[in-house]
Amino acid sequence: MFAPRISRPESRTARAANPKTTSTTAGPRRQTQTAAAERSRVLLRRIGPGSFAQLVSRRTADPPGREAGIQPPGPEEEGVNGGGAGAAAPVTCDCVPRGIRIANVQAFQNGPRYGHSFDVVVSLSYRGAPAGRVGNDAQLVWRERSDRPPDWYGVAPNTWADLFTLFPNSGTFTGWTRNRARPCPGREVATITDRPAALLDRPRRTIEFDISVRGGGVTRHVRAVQTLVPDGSGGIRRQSFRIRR
Amino acid sequence: MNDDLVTVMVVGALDREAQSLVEQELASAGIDCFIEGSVVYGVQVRSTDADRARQILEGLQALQDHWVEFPSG
Repeated sequence: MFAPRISRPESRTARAANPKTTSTTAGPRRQTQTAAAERSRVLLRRIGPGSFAQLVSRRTADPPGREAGIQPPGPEEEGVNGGGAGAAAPVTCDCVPRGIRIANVQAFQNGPRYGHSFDVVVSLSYRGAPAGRVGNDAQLVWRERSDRPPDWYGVAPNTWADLFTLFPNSGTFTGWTRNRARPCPGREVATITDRPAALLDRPRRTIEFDISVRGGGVTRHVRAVQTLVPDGSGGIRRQSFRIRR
Repeated sequence: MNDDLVTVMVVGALDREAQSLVEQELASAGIDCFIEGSVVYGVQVRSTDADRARQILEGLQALQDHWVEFPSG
């Protein structure tokens, strides 16, 4: 029923387009998406037929972590959500979100496609974990609820879905999964860029965003709503992106 | 409004190079495609074109260095 399918890493071009994560303290650069990707595969297997569960990943190019300056994860790395807490170092840190906001919202139209680009800017602090355990990374939850979800989500209209769980390897999440320096201890700002868009010859669509980062007993979240309405004649009737307080 | 659409592949929402490659390749084969989404974009084609589109895209070497996924079923 289902033939093997392939998954390929985001292009270098796309990676380069999202190098926005900045660090205020130098630290070991470390990344892995293994845990998130594996969790995604497990979840997808559980979803069952007729949904995106049938995705099977087989890497055909560089695995994550081979980019210049990014080391592969250490064998003892815990690999939580964003890719691990840098457990190879003798001192590890807990990652705690200090703040989160949506910035740089820009409407665009590119041929028949229209929508917005926006950044989710997450301020993070890393502090030493208590003796006897490794540090824990913060958890990103990227929930969206669409009134016209694509068939490949496997979710009904107006149903929340965590897209970070479904697509941890999407280039949208590079700023979270790959580009963080994780200074330990220290602070940094991670920037995640998305570009939700629809086609002018498709029906109207509204997406609600509920994005949160949890860590160290703290949860920060932002919400927004994008509404895209074509005018039925090849133009745009409405193109709005509202940040909810 | 193109209701009979099937998603044959997804690409990164930020990967405009891959999106363009897909559009060009399918257009050259005479297949209309509809690419939209959030976080990831779905490449949708009419159901009558789905098998051919999948075959073309799975064999597209230019996508080798891009993150793409193929839903099946």
